[in-house]
Amino acid sequence: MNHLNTLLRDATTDAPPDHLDVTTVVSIGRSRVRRRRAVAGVAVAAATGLAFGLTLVAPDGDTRDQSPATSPVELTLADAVPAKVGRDYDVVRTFTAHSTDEAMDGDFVRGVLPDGRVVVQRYPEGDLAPSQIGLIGEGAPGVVDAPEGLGNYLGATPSAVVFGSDTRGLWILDSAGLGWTRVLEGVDLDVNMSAQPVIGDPEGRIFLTAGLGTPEGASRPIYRVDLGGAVTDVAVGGDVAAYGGRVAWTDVYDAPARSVTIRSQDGTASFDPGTGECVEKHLGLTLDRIVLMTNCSDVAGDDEYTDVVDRIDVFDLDGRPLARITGEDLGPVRMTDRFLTITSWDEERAGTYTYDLGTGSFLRLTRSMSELAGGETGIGSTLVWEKRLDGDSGATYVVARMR
Amino acid sequence: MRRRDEQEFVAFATGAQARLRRTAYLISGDWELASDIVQEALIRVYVAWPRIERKGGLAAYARRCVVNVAIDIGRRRSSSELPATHETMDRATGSVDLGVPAREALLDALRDLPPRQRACLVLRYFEDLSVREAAEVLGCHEGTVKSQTARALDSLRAQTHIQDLVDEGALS
Repeated sequence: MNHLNTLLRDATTDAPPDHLDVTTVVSIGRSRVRRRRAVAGVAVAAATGLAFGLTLVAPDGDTRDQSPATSPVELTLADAVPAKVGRDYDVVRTFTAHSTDEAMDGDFVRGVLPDGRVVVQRYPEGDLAPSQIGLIGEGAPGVVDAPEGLGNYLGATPSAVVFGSDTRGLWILDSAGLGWTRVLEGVDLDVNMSAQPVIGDPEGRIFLTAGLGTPEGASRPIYRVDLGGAVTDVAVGGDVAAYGGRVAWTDVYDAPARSVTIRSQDGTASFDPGTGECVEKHLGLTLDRIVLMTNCSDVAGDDEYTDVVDRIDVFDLDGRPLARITGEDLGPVRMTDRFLTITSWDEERAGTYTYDLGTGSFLRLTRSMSELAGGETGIGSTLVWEKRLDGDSGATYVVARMR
Repeated sequence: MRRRDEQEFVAFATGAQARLRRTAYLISGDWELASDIVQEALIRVYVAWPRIERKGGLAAYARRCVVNVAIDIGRRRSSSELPATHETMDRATGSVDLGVPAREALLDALRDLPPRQRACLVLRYFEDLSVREAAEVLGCHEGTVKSQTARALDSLRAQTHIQDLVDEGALS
């Protein structure tokens, strides 16, 4: 037993008396079960399509009903067709990585840059020492030491790679000169939960949420940030996504969403996504699609702050539902401006799947999950997925271009 | 819930309560808050009881609920009010022995960590969970647990007055 272990135990030895009464727990539990059953009824109504009445809020504030409401294509993982290399995709390159309790070695893929280079993270001295970030392309790889407190990979612009920070703000890596810059050091950003890279518009500006809301409401400020550090207020909402000069946000995060708002040069419009009491988890936006990911099976919120969802709804920009993918234990779900990459840990359907937002093609890429599956994100038609390697201790990352 | 199930739940909750509270305390830094966290976690266990009973792993599920609630409260607090104060941590350390200064220093340092990092440390070094087990509790991937734990340990090492408590040898 080590010092830290001993100290932690020692710190809890003289606990003051506990006021918790198990009878109270049972009483509140009974009440919550009754409420939960009622809520589940609402969720079922939404799932059958009854809640797809569409209301748009025009730029002048008028609201109008859109009818008739369309029925989305409903898909489950069983509908996916096995993908075939050479027919559905071409492998660009592969990377391998291993992770055990004792060591981490190899290239852990984090994302793909617009120029095709792959962002990898290496741990040459183990995971207790600073890591390295590599940009791997056709030429000589560029490798640079990660700064202390480097957070998760968030996305890339044509000139920069964006990471979160363990504390506050962002770390920006100049993808040409490989120099680090830290921006927004004073802002408590929440940037780890998005389904897609946070890069938002042709100028490389990014859209972020700040803070984690308050106990009174699951919403928070949404900011637009340029990489020089200038910050502009956008709205108050839940999750945010941006693409091509448009920005979209939900009214809440980690709670049942009642509206999705889209703002462009043409104005602002909102619609009810019809997801009932399902808990909003992620939002994505492309040129012509909005994707909302929710967890409907756990309305009490037991899964807060995980990336597990069980329903993915695809809409056009007018809020018309186009497709709904459902399944157990989906996540993480990542997206580019053309594809969803869906991972499932469900025993019978485990693996990585991809849904083409343009054509509706639904493919199964792998038949098992790697323990290293995580936040790696493709770009455009280039996707990244993992295959198990050496049992659960390793992964082969496949970087592939979809046809 | 059937009466028999409810009796089983009460037996489980009564037995698990103290241990869960210690975990909640280390993450939240406040014994009173820890009791509230455990209450909410046990309510969630009650609601999910039929489902988790079939699956097994009651203790693991309850621990997961405690950690989720504690992180939830910790993160919401961090965005709306100051974190737990020295006073709340100090309430736990009334006894006087040679370990007290080190213990207080460690608790102070723990309090300054982001909630998820704190949870990773508690799960790995108090609950003695493996990386995989901690990842299951936190609902994240193993790499996340490793990186969060590493960052937490780095932060502790950066504080010179407790550096020797978390040096390489101490963690072997």
